[in-house]
Amino acid sequence: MDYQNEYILVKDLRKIYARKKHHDLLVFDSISFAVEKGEFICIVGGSGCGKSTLLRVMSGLDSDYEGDIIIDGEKVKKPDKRRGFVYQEHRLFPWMTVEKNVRFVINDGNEEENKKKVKEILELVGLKGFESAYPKELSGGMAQRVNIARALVNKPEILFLDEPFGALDALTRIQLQKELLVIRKKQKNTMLLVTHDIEEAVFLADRIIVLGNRPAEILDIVNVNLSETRERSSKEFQEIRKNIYKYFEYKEH
Amino acid sequence: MRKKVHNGLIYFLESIILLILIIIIWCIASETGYINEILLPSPRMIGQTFIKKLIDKSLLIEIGISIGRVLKGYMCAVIAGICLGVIIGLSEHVHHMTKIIIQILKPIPPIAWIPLVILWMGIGETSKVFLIFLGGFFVILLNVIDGIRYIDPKIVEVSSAVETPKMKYIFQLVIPAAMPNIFTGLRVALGTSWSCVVAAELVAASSGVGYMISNARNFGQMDVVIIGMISIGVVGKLMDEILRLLEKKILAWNF
Repeated sequence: MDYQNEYILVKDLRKIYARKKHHDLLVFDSISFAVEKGEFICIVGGSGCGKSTLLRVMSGLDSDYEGDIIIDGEKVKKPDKRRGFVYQEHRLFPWMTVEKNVRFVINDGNEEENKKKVKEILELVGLKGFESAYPKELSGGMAQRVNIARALVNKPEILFLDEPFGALDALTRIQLQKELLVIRKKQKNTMLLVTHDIEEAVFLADRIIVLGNRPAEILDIVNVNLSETRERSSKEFQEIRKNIYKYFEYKEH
Repeated sequence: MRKKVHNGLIYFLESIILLILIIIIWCIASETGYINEILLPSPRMIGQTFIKKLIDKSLLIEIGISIGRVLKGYMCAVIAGICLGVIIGLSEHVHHMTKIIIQILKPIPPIAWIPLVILWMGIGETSKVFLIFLGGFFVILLNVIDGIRYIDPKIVEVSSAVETPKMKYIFQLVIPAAMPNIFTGLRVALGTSWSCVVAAELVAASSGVGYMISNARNFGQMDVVIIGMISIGVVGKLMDEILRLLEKKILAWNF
């Protein structure tokens, strides 16, 4: 396979988690895949399979890995503001208002410009009118919106999302999934989202990477050839869902 | 919410009633001769002396002098405690280097410093302010260090992922995040500083509440001694309340 022209290239990625009192843990081994610019990739896997670690490594938050991660021709060594990260927990600073939380992550530009940037991004995630609210006054869904706004405000080319809707109730989750697609359409980011919710993956992704358990390996990469507006109850949707689900069914040995 | 306010009021009333009850029992015991008035003056005697000392303003003057000293020493402790605490708390290296020194110095009560402090600084104001400083400094220092060291690393990652400049990181993240702990330190330290002023004045002073107590002791005026003691208690409580209000205002996000 020739990967040279790929936007994101992950090749022979291997991550060992060193532990003090136990043997070192091999989190994943020989992971290779490529992502095109503008693609929406979902990574699904069981809990503890290393999918979040894979995302952290790819975004540069965790630089202790073997193998290659090349984004736009550059090897990933540390976080970069061209890559936004939506954390699993909202991680908002409770002492700052919504607006200040988002503004905190901007470290360049002038005051006026940044103010405008924050305003635009809060509007985009549907938080207009909540600028001066404190995190404790927000619902889980709202807090997660701020988390997304914070990841987007530096206009990243790639957005990494680590189980962003995992802690939300089903209805809020569906609402935010829809909004995420709207955001993607407007901002044209490349997106990589980790989830254990197969339905979520089928709803959002262009391609789904299915990870198997410890050490994680790629079991399958599924193309989701569905129209842009996806009907969860449609036959095609359910077909793909079932296809992925079979990887996680309990097998008797 | 309503119920909580209601309960708070009841607890407050109950505590006042308990206080009054103790005073009444004390009164009865004194008036009926159960308590020797030389060993423990009656509330009536204390009350009379208290009013006398209020009218000639001597009580307020002594309290004012003591408070002035505390504020000086305490402010020094706050500034030094927070600055050093931030430096130590931010660096794993400095923390391990200074840990043993701090742990050894901390348990030494300020009173034990008195001989050295008087030798170095004499019996003037400086030595008293320094003792108050010692009384507050370590409490603040340790709380600041702990507050910073236990900041959630997940929150720190948000900042480091976008390469936040150091000063912005310290002032917008580290200090606010450690603020609840810092405030605990500030409140405890104000109490210990206040205790120290009395100890300092008991040893060498010609003014202040501590002096008032030790002077009254020489003349066997136990009523004045008790007035001094109660003043210390009341002022300590009031100062804590002021800091508590300040905390609620500054740390509104935390309540």
